[in-house]
Amino acid sequence: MLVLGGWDPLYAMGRGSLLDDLLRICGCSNVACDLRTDASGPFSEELILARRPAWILVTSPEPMPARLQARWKNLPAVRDGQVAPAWADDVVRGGPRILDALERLHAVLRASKPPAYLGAMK
Amino acid sequence: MSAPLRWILTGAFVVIATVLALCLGPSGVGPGDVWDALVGAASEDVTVDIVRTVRMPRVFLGLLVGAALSISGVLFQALLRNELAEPYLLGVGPGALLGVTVAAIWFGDAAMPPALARGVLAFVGAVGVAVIVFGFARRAVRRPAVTVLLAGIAVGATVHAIASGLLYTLEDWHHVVRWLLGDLSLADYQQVVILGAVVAVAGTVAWLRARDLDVLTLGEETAWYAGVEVRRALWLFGGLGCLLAAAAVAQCGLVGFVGLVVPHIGRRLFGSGHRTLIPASALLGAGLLVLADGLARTLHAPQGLPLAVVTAALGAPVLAGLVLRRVGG
Repeated sequence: MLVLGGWDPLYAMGRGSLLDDLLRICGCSNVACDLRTDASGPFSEELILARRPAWILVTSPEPMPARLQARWKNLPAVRDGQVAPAWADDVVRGGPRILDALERLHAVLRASKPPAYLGAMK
Repeated sequence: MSAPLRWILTGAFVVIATVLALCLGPSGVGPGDVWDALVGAASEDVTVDIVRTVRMPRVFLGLLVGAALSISGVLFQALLRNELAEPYLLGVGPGALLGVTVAAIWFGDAAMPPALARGVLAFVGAVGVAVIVFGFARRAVRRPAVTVLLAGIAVGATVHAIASGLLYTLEDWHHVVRWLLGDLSLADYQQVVILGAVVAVAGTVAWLRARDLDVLTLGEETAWYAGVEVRRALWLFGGLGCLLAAAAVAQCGLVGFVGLVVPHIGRRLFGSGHRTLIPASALLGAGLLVLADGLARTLHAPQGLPLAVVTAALGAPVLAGLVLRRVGG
């Protein structure tokens, strides 16, 4: 899994971020878990290609730039259409609704549901 | 050391720096993998993607940015007859940055505005600042070069502050770091082609008129007596210096020290004749910058470091060493 906060520059959520916690509860591993900052920071494109995330969750509403779609065409997440928006309030904000978000995230990751699912519910 | 040997060593430095940069990276793709990816023998798509789509355009762009900034530094140092002159100190770099910033705001794309827009606006910004800064020289009766440098620092700082402030108001402050501290992470082959064309044309024109530069370093009056059309030459070389600096800034933001340090190294190795100094500085700058970028993306992985941090770390000690050797006679 890879959680991106932005495309240009590539800005990833690492250990200590809320989404990283959610992913680990879902049994996933975050390819940006070795970020040296507390929770998030710029992340090497080369490492993303090398670590081949099966899913990319994006907390920014911006679509994936065409430039990256071409460069990442062999990445499992891009090749299999598993690049999902994840900016719904209950996903990115710690609160009582986080359990709903966790259930939804778990369902999406298990069933490989359409990517829009995580961003659709505000 | 003979001249041919110096050229061979300089060429070897560029080749070694390029190979090292291709092999450096946080993913563990090493020299053998790089070779396999280049000759089409790689067994995994990952290796090919890393080498061909991430590292190669970045290395090619780094070579060209280094060459552009170094030639620009050579031109400005010759025009001002002052070894402190360089695109950043003269305000030309910040002027180009302001142009890129305007393009970013205009097109609503802080990361990478359209190539043509950022190139043209960067050039307009660089020339605008250069015209203001060099205008001070016309008023200075004594020590015009120092006046231009001081004006460059003042105007450059002002323009830098405006550009930084505008960038800061954009939605993502990470772009501030990208444009103010230099970054080649978004390099692609389109940028390589654009900057390659600018460096080839501007570098060739400057090289063909190198004799005029040599004479200009003796003073404008001497140059006039030697048959150089001084006013036209100043506009030509100033314009070329601005074009090269603007083209580099438009691709990767502000990268300091290269335009200042490399001409010094070039003069030390090849002398002051511009027919040799221009190509030598281009090669040395290309090698230095690509090596710096290799370190920038490898050190402090997985985040990496801004390019300007590494060029300053490599360039400042070299410059200090050259100064100390000169002071020591």
